[in-house]
Amino acid sequence: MLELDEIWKSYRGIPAVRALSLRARPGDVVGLLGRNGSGKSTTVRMIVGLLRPTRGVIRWQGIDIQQQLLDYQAIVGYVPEEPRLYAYLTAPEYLELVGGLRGIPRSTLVRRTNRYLELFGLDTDRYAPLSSFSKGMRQKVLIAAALIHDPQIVVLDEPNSGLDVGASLILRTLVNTLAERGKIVIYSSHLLDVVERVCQEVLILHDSAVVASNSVTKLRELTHTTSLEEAFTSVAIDQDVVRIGREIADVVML
Amino acid sequence: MTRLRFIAWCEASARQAFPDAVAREIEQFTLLSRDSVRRLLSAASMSRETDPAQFALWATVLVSVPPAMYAVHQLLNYSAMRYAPAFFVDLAIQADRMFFVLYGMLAAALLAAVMWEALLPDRSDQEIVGSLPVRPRTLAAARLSAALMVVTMFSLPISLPAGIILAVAAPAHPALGFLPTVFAAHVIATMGGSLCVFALLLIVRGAIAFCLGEHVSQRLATVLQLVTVAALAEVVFFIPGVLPAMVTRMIFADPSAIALPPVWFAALYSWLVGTPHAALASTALLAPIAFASAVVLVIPVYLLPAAVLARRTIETQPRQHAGVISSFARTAAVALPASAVIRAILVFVVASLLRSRRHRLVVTAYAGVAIAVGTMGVIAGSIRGTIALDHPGVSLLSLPLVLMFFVALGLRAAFAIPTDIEANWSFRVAQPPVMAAVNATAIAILLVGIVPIVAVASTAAFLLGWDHGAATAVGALDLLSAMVLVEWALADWRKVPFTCGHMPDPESLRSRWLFYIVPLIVFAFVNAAIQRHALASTRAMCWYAGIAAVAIAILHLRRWVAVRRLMLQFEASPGDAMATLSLSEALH
Repeated sequence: MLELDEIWKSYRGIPAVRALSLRARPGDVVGLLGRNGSGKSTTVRMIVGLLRPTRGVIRWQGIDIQQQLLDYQAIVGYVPEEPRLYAYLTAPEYLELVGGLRGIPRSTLVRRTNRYLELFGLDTDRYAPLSSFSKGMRQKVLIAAALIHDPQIVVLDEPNSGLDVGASLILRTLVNTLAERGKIVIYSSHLLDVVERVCQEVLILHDSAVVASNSVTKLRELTHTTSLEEAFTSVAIDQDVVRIGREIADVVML
Repeated sequence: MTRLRFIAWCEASARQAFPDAVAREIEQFTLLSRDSVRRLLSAASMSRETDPAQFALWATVLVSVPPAMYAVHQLLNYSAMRYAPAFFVDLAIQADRMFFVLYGMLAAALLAAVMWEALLPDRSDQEIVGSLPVRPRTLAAARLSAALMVVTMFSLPISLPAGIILAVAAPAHPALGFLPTVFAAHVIATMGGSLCVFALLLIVRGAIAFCLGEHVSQRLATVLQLVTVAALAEVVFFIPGVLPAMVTRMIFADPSAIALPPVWFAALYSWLVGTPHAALASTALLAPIAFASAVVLVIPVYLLPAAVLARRTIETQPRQHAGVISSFARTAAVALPASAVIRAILVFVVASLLRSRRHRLVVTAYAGVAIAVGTMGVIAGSIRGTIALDHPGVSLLSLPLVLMFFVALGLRAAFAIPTDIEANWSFRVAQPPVMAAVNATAIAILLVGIVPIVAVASTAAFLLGWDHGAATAVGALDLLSAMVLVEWALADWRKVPFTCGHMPDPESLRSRWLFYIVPLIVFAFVNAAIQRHALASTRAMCWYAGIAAVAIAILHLRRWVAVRRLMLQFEASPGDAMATLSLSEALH
């Protein structure tokens, strides 16, 4: 089980995440929702071990991940928000680098790499450097790299970014399949409809803190709304969005 | 296939020889080292579109040619010295040895400067590798080994050809040494010197990043490149004249000479070949001590703080000086009586240049050559005793002109390389007029490159005690000259800086350098002589200003006629690189 116990993260004294708690069991798909700057990506980066919490503990199977960081990172797959890749490598080279660093035997690695490229439709671009890839193609490479070692925890930070409709639908099925196979999936996204369809449990962050944490159905009931979008608006949006939208359109009249 | 088999064999051997955890770390180290080589080469190449391997090849060829040519030249000299007295030959060969050592060391320093940002794992590395089960020390060790591998690959072609040529020359005179010994001594001394300097700079890099932070470290890279480029140019053009004096001091163990690291390795060279000068033995001993110390020290400096640096890199937000830079560019733009389009482009150009280290390095390389060329005349004049600092002479007047010439061309070359080619759609969509883009480019060159040089030159003239009128007049004449230069340099320019695709052309430096020597001589040296005469009377000065104004008007009109019906250029064309001196990107 993955447990986040009252974790805080501050940068120069300014909190980016406040007292966030979360429990995820194998097979759970947990959605992280929030506006820009609400602390989603910081939470995700703490879950994958990139950042160390300022306060609080993240535990995997009951042990603090900082005490077993390398072993823990070996069972985590991560798709970052920004598609950061070594742009001068080709897709197979990048996957072989990541797989190699994770200690996957070469023959297995080559088989998996080829299959991923084939399934993601990147086979014809296997000799092109990643610098020539579109955002969606890079995202596919990152998803492949996150899954190549058969992780037990899959952390997806805005995984739909740049993906076309077909690839997004494939991703949704992929997440469900991973959950069925007992993986924990952490899914951070702005796309409320996708989160509503994919996640069993949702954490809504606002101003660096959790303002709602429950199953999607419960959340709708509690907020007396019919969709996750309405529930999200009621707890995490404190602006008059209609008024602001109109005012933005009016700026050109100044 | 053979390579894959070899890698598989290495992995299998590592698994058998070490416990699992260690074997895994060795595998990770191997993979990351291989990747780090490409990362370093990629950082060194100025243009992101450039193939790092091609860049490495051209850079190595370009840097290794001068010592090889010098060795060939000396081969002929040594043949002519067959019957010369031994002490005379000894003095000559010692100076040559020091030249090769010094050149190798400076080339290694330059390499460190251009790869500076990638010498330690940066934010991008930590983002990619940080979430994987890889220790920060493994990544740091891989980067260190890759850096040492790159400098070795870079230094070998500099050292080997000259070593072979000098070894071939050895039988010409007994004082030159024994053929195989000469070759071995040449390679050991020059490579040892290069690696020692490189390792010392890695120590500086690591220590500064740990103690003062990444921002200070990045600033240092620009200074380091300026110094090494200037010093390299001085080594080629000027130092051969000074070396005999240094050699004499080295032979007599003068403490001021012995304090210099190139002297240690030159002494080691001579000691290995065999020398009658007993004092060289103790100086030679300093070379292996320095080398061993640098190599031993660099390991803990890299590995011990790796975890702290990794965490700091990922947790610290990149430091931006957006406020200062933007306000500088905006203030300058608003103060100009220019259109909104020109102002917008100008702010973009200044901000892009100040925030892109790659582009600053291109300009720095040109400035380094300018300093070397400019100071040569001044130093030669002071040696001959023909220079006077208290009034405007040709040598002093030419100094800011040389700087302006190279900086203007350097800025033009930097402007031709895109910062982020995919972001140029804003300009493609808006399609500003070509003349606005060209005018903004000209103003940017004047603002960023020319005005600071003129200000420094005028201030220096005041400080040297020149007549106030003359100092101010020199500033005005320099500014007018620079405006003519900028109009000339932008004659065929029709881009918004940093937004056009760039196609580096290796032919540019080799085939066009002569076309720039003549303008340099005319602009810097002939112009300086004319300025000296112009300063003699008000009438002459008015003539000078009038001619410059007419030249500016003609060049401006000519450009207007040429570009008024054209669209802005966004795609790279092979001819572009020919139009610049391309000191950095011509290496590709």
